[in-house]
Amino acid sequence: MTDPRGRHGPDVLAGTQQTPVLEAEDVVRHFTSRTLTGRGIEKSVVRAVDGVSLSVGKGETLGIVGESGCGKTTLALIVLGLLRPSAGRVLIDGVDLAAVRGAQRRSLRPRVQAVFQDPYSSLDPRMRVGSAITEVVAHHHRSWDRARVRARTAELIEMVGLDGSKADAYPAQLSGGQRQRIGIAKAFATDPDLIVADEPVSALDVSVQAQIINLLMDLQAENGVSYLVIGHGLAAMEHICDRVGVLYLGKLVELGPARVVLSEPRHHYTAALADSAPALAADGRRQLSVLTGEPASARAVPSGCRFRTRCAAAQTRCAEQEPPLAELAPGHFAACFYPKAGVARTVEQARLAPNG
Amino acid sequence: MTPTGSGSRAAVPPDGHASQASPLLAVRGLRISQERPSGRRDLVREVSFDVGRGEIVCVVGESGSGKSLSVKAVMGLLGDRGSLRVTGDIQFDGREVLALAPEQRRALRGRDMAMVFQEPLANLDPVMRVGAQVAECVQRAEQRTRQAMPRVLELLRHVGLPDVERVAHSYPHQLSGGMCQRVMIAMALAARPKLLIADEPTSALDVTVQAQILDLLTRMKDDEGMSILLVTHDLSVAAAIADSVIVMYAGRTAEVTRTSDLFGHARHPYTEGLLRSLPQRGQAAGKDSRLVAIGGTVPEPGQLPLGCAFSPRCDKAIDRCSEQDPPLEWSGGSAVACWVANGDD
Repeated sequence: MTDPRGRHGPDVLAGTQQTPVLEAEDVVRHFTSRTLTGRGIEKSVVRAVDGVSLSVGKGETLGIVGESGCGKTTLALIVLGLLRPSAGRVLIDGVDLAAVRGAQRRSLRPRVQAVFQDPYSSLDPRMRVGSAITEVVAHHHRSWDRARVRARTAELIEMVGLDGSKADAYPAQLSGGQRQRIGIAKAFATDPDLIVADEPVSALDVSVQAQIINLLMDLQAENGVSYLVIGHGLAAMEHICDRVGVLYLGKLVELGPARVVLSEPRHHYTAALADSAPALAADGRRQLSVLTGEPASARAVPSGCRFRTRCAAAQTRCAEQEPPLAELAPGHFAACFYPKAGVARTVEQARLAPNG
Repeated sequence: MTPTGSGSRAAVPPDGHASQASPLLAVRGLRISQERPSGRRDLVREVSFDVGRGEIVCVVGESGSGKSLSVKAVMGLLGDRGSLRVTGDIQFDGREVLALAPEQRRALRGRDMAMVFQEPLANLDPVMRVGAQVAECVQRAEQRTRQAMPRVLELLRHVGLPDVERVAHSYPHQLSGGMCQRVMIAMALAARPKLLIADEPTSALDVTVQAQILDLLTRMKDDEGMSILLVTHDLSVAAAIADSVIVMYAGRTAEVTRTSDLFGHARHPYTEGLLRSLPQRGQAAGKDSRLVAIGGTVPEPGQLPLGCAFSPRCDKAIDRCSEQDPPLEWSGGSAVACWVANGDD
């Protein structure tokens, strides 16, 4: 098996040989939950994230898609350093988050920032949005005088496409799209290398989502920031991501170039996910329902391949052994013993003409 | 019939449009306003649409567009209490709904029309077994209090639930969101309604489960000729299952169109803009391209611009658009409220 982090493939695709901004090595996070049942208190282990390895290169956007309960938000919290992994390592610019303390850890923190789903609940309702940004700028640049902090704040507000007068507004006086712009300005206030965006547009009005997607992509083109985007809208993910990883019950089942993974999936789960999403096209009518049942619980993960209980292609081997994440085409990994047929192409073709 | 302006063509649709038979539900000039100390505020203005027999009609709109309020008014859930006033014309199966006495409307609800909501868990009683909750609906529908269980199990089986005896003995928290939504649909089906109103029934569900529920709704239309009025914010859901689509913007109907005409033949600039702004799957464009976003934001009710509510965000707007609100003009089974699309100058 090739390196499951996909260091070779994706880095070639991203055109860099530098240290990845983010590396996750076999990250595991289990939660113990206690439930009161008729037989007393029962302990069970929720395997929220169960061995995930991935990397995000400089200026790259990696998307994580999956259904609720697949562990994508837990993974985001671990990358942000807000949750400790039960096992495995998270490296930011090559430095292990868990191995450093004190000043070094504090210096690492600002390099990873978050953009949340609901900008309303992530802003203080009683603080003017300009002050919310100023606070971050001032904390990050302790040596700066007030004029400089104020100038940088104004610059950030302008950068996200808002009028400078909006700095005096309270969150309630802004629309959802404007609030999300403030959330993005706040994230950029520390000049981060990586921004973790958990469903950045799904709480916004449909007619405003495109504005925010464009903004995120423009800012990346200007600043070379990397994104780890968590989302479930496949069309939007295909649009903004370079690579996409598909998470099922805490494990990556497929990882590769976004358009290849989502339009020519090799794993049966990815295929089902892609076929379930109603297509926005004139010929969009088709049999929608392709999967029966719902994801198994992360409390009781099936033996072998965790998707086998819903997979039409499952064989006896799938119940006995867990399929490894194997490189089926350059930069394209899938964890399946019986993957769907792929379209043969070279790395160069994959980069230039993902659909050709 | 329109508050401002008057179209040169019919502002009222011709009787019995596309289908020969009269539609099951015909809504005309629906207005929902809120009385406040500071004056009256219209939350919904000038909403008109039809739901044909055996048709799936989707109401598509963003938050605040008035889509949920409109269907709740149809269902009679806004009532006469509180500060909301509902006026206009709601014809259901030949009856004028707004003119019915409260008891008559109650009889209509849950019998001839039934409703399914977005959050199934919030609409099921958490301390009552699912089977008992469905049984209540069955007993009410059949006007008797015994022997409901066979029909309960039949309904649960009908909506595609596995292991129905176990489901019937479960409490809502023991079931998944998708299963609870199926239970809600089973309850709505208990009285074999002619019209099922579903308000964002899949928005809280995962995409694979959403596909199953949409499939179930399509089957009910195909197999039983049920009419379904589906509220959604997701144009792709509408495109996948609807026969016709009602596009709402800022409290009014912007456009009514057959789903087959939605792509390529959308007439309202808002509909067009929405379709253009959505990322598409499998396009060669991808990361190197920008989405064609609609500028600006959705106006708040009570702070509507003068004239057409969409005009400040519309790249086709002419002078008249910021002066007069365009009427909804019908031709055949479709309608659009736009000065430019209707060729008026």
